[in-house]
Amino acid sequence: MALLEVRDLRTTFRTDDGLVTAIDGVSFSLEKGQVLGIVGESGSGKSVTSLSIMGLLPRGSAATSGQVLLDGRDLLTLGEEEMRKIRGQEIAMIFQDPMTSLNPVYTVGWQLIEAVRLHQDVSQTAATKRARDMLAAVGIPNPDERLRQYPHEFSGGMRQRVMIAMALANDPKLLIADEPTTALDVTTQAQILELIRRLRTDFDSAIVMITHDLGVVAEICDDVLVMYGGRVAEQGGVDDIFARPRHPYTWGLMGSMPSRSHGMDRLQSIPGSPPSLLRPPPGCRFSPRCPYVMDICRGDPPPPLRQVEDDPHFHVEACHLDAASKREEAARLLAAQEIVR
Amino acid sequence: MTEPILRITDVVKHFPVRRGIIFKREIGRVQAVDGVSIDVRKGETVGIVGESGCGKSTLARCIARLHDVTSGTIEFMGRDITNLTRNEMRPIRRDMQMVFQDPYASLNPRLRVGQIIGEPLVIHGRGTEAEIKARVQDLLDRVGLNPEHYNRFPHEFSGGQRQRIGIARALALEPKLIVCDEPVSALDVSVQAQILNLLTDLQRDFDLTYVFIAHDLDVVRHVSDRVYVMYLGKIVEAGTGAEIYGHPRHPYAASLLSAVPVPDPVLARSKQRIVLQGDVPSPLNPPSGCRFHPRCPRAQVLCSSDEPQATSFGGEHLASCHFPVARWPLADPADIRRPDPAATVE
Ligand SMILES: Nc1ncnc2c1ncn2[C@@H]1O[C@H](COP(=O)(O)OP(=O)(O)OP(=O)(O)O)[C@@H](O)[C@H]1O
Ligand SMILES: Nc1ncnc2c1ncn2[C@@H]1O[C@H](COP(=O)(O)OP(=O)(O)OP(=O)(O)O)[C@@H](O)[C@H]1O
Ligand code: SF4
Ligand SMILES: [Mg+2]
Ligand SMILES: [Mg+2]
Repeated sequence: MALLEVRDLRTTFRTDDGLVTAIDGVSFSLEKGQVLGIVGESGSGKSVTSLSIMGLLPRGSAATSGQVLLDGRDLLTLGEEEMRKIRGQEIAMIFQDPMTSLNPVYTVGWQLIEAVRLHQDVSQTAATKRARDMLAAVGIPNPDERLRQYPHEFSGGMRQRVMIAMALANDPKLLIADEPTTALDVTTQAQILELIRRLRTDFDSAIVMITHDLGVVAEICDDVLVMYGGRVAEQGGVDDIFARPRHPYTWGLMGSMPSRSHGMDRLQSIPGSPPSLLRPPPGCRFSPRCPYVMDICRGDPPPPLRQVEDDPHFHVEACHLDAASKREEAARLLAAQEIVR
Repeated sequence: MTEPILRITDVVKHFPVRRGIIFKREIGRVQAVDGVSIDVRKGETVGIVGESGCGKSTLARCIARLHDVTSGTIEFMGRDITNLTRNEMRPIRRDMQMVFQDPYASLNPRLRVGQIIGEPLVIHGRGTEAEIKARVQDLLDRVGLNPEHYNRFPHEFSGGQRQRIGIARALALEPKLIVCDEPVSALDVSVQAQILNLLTDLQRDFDLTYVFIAHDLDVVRHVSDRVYVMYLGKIVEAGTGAEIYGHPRHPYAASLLSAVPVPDPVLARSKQRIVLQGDVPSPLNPPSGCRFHPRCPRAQVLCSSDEPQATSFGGEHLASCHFPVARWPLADPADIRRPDPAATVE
């Protein structure tokens, strides 16, 4: 049994302008020691997916259906009290902006110790030691001294490390990282990615990594879910998706990357901008921007995710285009791309 | 070789830090830009790349004379503009425009798009109302917006469309040079690609010269003919895209390049990475000698005492390092370690 099994997750918000189905049928499973990437542009539903799993959406205005099985137990059926225990203990989450989750008026040590004592019945001394060890484990020099400092005395990269330390303080089974490196410089990002790689190998953590950067996906993920307009466009093993992408949106994302277009004057890009989920386009949500659009795409939603025939592993996609055309187009596009390294 | 359209020589910009209520006393200086020299030739794109706080925006603002420099000179189209007054700068602004990162913050939310783009035309008395309107609609069309949207407000547009508005306004007076400060950093990748394509097309059609500032190395490589790499207020390496990306010589440039995620899992697995330790030091009190030495995997004693001078590596390639990177791509970790392992840095 997988550690985390998400089945047909669907979240709808009630807003002043009407209902917004922010995610519409997301399924995946994740084992220990694996990193699953969720990639897509702004508004594609990445954060709503993670907040739905964590049960962190406002119960009044958001309705979530489907199943979130952690070790076989469906989190969506649990009450707020039970979820509070699970959060921080069994599942931990880190966000893009660590400042929003660190309290500026308490020292980093106080907050770490609180996080430990909230879930573990240990002495102050033991909790302090745990806090110190966690800071050291995420590569913060002089942890004893650092425990006494306030969040503003840390740089952006260091704060993100503190967040990771806090997230790991109770040995969670699952870590959800929502764009943990997006606000960071590239050398700091490299430090955090290195740390996440280590979590996977040394602690056997299961990690959901949310990002808009296919580069980050290629660097640390085992599996990836490409989202567009709240739906899964394509999903599978990282090697398969990069070698045999089968959805026009994935092609567009790859073609938009300057690093995959070495020597080209113009980038492939995707016309237009991501859809409004308040009034999503009928049929395939990518149809207004898709260079391969056919009449059927504008009327009918794409078929349910189906297995990519020429891939032996789990690799599914949802698009009306026929398999042969997709095979040819993908091969043609990839042949034209030269990756800089 | 063509005459430079823009020549920046030894530009220094320090921000004094003052304390005290009545008698403000200077307690230090943020050395945001510290002795930068850059040549920009007509028709080319010069990229300036570096991490947050290295001084890119400050430099851009010095070039556009939005800041007065502490010392150094800025020559534009053969004329020293370093000390021109606001009034004297006005005719120069026709030829030199800026595009910023956050198109929303730089567009007046109360003005209609037509007024925003037409404003420079009105200020410079370019034609009658009807002529200006026609020109604005032409510009809207040129940057890929619907000319009918002339009367809309900025908030009615998406981020990418707002950046198009910013670009249309910069184009209004037919400038020779556009200084772009992180023009695509706030955009989604697919929209970023559209804007980069637009900038490429406009350059070709209007014979534009760009100074293109960004922290994204891949974006800078894509648009630039030549690139300058900045660290803590200084240029550490300069050269054509092929020279710098093909074989970075400065350990900082090499570290930056090795840190960029490669969007291909097979290449990513085989890549040698240099993961720098620690954080960028404060520009209030930058390290002695080479500013990179406390984090540099190759630093030796000399690096903490002597500031390295720019050395040529052939062609246009310059790097300021005592122990430049000899082999690239890195074949094994030894390629980036200290040349003399016995030597230590304090
Ligand atoms: N509390 C809410 N109420 C109403 N709509 C919401 C709410 N939260 C998110 N949405 C909508 O759900 C959609 C998905 O949002 P989400 O935050 O998951 O996107 P994302 O993929 O994380 O994007 P980004 O890359 O910008 O973080 C968006 O259209 C957003 O407007
Ligand atoms: N007006 C100012 N007064 C004092 N310090 C300033 C001022 N403007 C910038 N600085 C400082 O100068 C340094 C360089 O800032 P600058 O904005 O030029 O960096 P940047 O390279 O553009 O960074 P980013 O990538 O974050 O935009 C920073 O340490 C910054 O805090
Ligand atoms: S289903 Fe049609 S519109 Fe949607 S991505 Fe595929 S080809 Fe394009
Ligand atoms: Mg998000
Ligand atoms: Mg800046």
